[in-house]
Amino acid sequence: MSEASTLLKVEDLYVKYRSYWYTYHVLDGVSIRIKPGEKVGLIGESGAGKTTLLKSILRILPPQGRITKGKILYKDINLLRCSKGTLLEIRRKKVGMIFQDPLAALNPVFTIKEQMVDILKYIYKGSNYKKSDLENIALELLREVMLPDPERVLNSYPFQLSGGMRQRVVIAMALASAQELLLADEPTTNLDVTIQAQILKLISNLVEKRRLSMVLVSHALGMVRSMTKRIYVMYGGNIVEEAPSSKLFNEPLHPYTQLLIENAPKIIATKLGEGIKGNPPDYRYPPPGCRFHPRCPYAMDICKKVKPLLIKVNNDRYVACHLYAEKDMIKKLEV
Amino acid sequence: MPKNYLSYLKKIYKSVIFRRAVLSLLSLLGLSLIIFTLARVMPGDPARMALGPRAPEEVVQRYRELLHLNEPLYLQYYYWLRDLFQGKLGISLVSFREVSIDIAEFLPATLELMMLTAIIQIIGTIVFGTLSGSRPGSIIDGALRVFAYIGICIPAFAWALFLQFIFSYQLGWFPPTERISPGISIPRVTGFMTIDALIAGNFNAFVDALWHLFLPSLALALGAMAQEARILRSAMVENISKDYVLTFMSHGLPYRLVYFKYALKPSLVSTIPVMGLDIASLIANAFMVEIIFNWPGLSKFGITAMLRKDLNGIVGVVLVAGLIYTITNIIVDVIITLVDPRIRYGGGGE
Ligand SMILES: Nc1ncnc2c1ncn2[C@@H]1O[C@H](COP(=O)(O)OP(=O)(O)OP(=O)(O)O)[C@@H](O)[C@H]1O
Ligand SMILES: [Mg+2]
Repeated sequence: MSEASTLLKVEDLYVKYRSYWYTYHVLDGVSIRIKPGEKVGLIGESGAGKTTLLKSILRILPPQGRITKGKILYKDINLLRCSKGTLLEIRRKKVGMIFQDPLAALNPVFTIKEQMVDILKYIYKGSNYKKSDLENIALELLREVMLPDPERVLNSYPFQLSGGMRQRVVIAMALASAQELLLADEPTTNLDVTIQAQILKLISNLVEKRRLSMVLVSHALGMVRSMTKRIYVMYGGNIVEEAPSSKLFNEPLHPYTQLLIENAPKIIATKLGEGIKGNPPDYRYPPPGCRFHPRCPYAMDICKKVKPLLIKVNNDRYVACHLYAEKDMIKKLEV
Repeated sequence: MPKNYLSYLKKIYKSVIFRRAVLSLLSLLGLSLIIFTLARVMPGDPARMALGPRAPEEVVQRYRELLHLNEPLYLQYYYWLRDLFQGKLGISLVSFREVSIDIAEFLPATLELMMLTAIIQIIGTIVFGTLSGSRPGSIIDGALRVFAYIGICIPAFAWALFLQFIFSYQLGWFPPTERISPGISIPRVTGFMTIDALIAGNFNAFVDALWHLFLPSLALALGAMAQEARILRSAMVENISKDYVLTFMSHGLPYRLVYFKYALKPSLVSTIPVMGLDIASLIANAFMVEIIFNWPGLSKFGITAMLRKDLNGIVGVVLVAGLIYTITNIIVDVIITLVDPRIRYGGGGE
């Protein structure tokens, strides 16, 4: 794949969180890439680092979070090196993010109008729009996410709206900025089961209509499968498997992916990975070698010592697991 | 129509602020009873002290009768209350004038001091709290931490002595005492020197009055400001990692707008009550600082009243202080309601 046909490329990304006492080594050499117009899924149980990855891309980690190594290329721009102006420009007009928790993503002490107008003001900076123009754009966006009575919504405070309505507002805001790429971080957590499917359908339609690229994080595996072409599986801050969506579900390769799909909840309300024995890694002292080895039913000696790299097993499938390394490769590594 | 009116009344009755106002009035009444009793059971003969040691006994006796001092306490209180409802606080035993007239003379100086103190305190808190809270661990954050520890340890009167010594007596940048320079005279309208100067159109006097206000206000503001800035800072530190702030980062809003608007306002919700309490307490806390700067405020009247056992004066000063405290608190309640819509619309907890 050539550079030109890649929209976003994350290369070997390391992210740590620092608290007063501890350092949490969360992202541990993550690489992903997205082609223009492509929709990819990102799945993994709670705490795998999915949100951390998405926030790193926009460089909006909280102050405790640090990117310590790696590259984030948006087209040809390295987001870790570029000027502040370029970064702001990309945040305003290229990439939009839907935050995980609709109840937490809107500012509680401002009206929706105030928040949307501020956002739109910077997206349309330099085009001489008046406040009333911006309000009309906001109304139009709210209509697009199928909110009934958008005028009332615009004049409401977040706590006056239901969870589903708030999430639609958040989607409308993200759409304003996502003119090329949408990062959708579990857009349906904390919502009623009935509304979850509606919201995902809405996102799917909007992305289709606007020809956006998308990274979709979700625990609703069925929806991820139908909405994306390719899926990354994340465990403990690593990408452990990458595969075309249908193939991943028909024949998961990584032991973690197998367990994840086996234990996938039948209804989409619960969290992924609930049925898998053991706990996610302690990021303060992550296990050496493969971070999954303490929970892996097939763990071998080498798994405790050597970190498996994401390798190509056949034309479109990649997996990071020693089970799939060629036998002589293992020998070489063990020496 | 009458039904509407009734529901409106009901709404008022239900509003938190109305209830607090009523409750405060009741507690003021309680306060009056306590201070009234205390002032009278303290040893010392107020009539004798007022008239001096050489006044003939029968004159003193007549004076006692005039003040009902020979009657039982509850009757005395009853008379006092009866007068109060006619807007009278009684005759001062020092100035022989209505206490309310005396207080009206001295109170504006204290209120003016309180107001500038509040302004310095609020601006300082917001600027330092936001700057250090939006970049925890930065140099400015470290500096604020040190300043906060110092500020909290040092009481206002010590700041007053320190500032006065350095900036007035050593450097001579600010006047050490009084409200206005000798030689400047402006007609009294409101009793607020700065406002009266503006009314008189005397800009020089306005600046001069501000100059006099600055040091005592700063002395009063510093300690509280240090503490409040720390409180605001920790609320900010918590809020800047919240999604409802990061959302605005993700849309490419300038950092300053995100911090000073979308992180600051939710953080203020927890800071304002503390600020309000500190500002309300100024009415009493200003006493020592007023004395140091020879400020002709409530302290001047209050302290003479205590030393001379001016019964009505003491009760009057305490009550007015209580009233100002109460009013300030109600204003703060209103401000909190304005800042936090969740309270304004009564509910909507997450
Ligand atoms: N500010 C922080 N300080 C310390 N650790 C953090 C911080 N933010 C996140 N983490 C840790 O980083 C890890 C990854 O978190 P992240 O939110 O990226 O996971 P996630 O895959 O999005 O999970 P979920 O499905 O629950 O949203 C978690 O173990 C979390 O505890
Ligand atoms: Mg997450």
